[in-house]
Amino acid sequence: MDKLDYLVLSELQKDAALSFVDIAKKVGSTPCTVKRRYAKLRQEGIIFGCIVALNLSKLGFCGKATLSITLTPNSNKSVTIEYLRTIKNVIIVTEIIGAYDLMAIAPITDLKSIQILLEEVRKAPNIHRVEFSCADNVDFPVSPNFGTLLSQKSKTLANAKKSRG
Amino acid sequence: MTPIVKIDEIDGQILHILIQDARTSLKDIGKKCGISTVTVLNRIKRLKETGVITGAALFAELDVFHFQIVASIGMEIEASANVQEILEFFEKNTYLVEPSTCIGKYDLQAVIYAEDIASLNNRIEMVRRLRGIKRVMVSVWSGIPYLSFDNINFTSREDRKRG
Repeated sequence: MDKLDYLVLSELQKDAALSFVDIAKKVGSTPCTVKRRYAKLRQEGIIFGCIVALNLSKLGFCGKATLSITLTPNSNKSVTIEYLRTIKNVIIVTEIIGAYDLMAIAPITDLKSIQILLEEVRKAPNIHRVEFSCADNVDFPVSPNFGTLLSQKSKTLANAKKSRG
Repeated sequence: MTPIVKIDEIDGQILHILIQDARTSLKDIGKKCGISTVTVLNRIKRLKETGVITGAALFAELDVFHFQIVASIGMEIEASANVQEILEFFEKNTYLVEPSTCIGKYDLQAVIYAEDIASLNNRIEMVRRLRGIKRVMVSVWSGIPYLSFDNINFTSREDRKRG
């Protein structure tokens, strides 16, 4: 990762759909070079997702449910994770360290959808307890401030690097 | 409540393609959906104008940003707490992402990014000291989170109404 890589990342974090021409203008390079850098970052798996951002409230969703899950003792986490990932509308499943074992996040539309979601989650193997909380956050996949944070951080890292000429 | 933007099956298909890659060319989207490039452009334009599409997010390895830790925090607040003031603090503090009010176990929640345990501790301490915060509960994400963003069903609500 050199200075230009970080500068390109910084621009893409602000808007991942920005054209290579516009990125080139902002970082002071050529569209061709930027395109090559993007392809390289993608190929190396450094960039692994470029996802359209949506306002879910416009599509009838009212928030995101966060499910904090406790598993039965001595059970295999990966079996439960695999099951949870197949439940409709579950967009993130992660293992956590803390008072719970797993966390799952799913956008919800109404009370009925919460009920359906909870029923489905309780069917998963090795579930001991599910705690539920519902955030009034309708940004998909993540809030814009996620991009702002990483964009600023990229810029700082870029400035710390010497230009490769 | 925000008025709901009606989308049909093709709009849903376009959204799913853009979830997989927001940089997909109009031509490729057209091919996959069996419609012309101009139609794709018009549909995307409509989705942007109605505020359904708000931009595009990039996901990159957090290592390259030197972030080692992602943690969810849930907060309980005092009855007298000024929620607006707390949320404004979160908006200003860029290490706290996705702040929102919450119904259920917590009153507020957010996600924290940190370079190491010490910086995580600092950031949580900052939250803990905020006026009106009663309790902060931290869950550190471990392993690689499983993201399946295309698992979302945009038309389910319509289906249910019809059914």
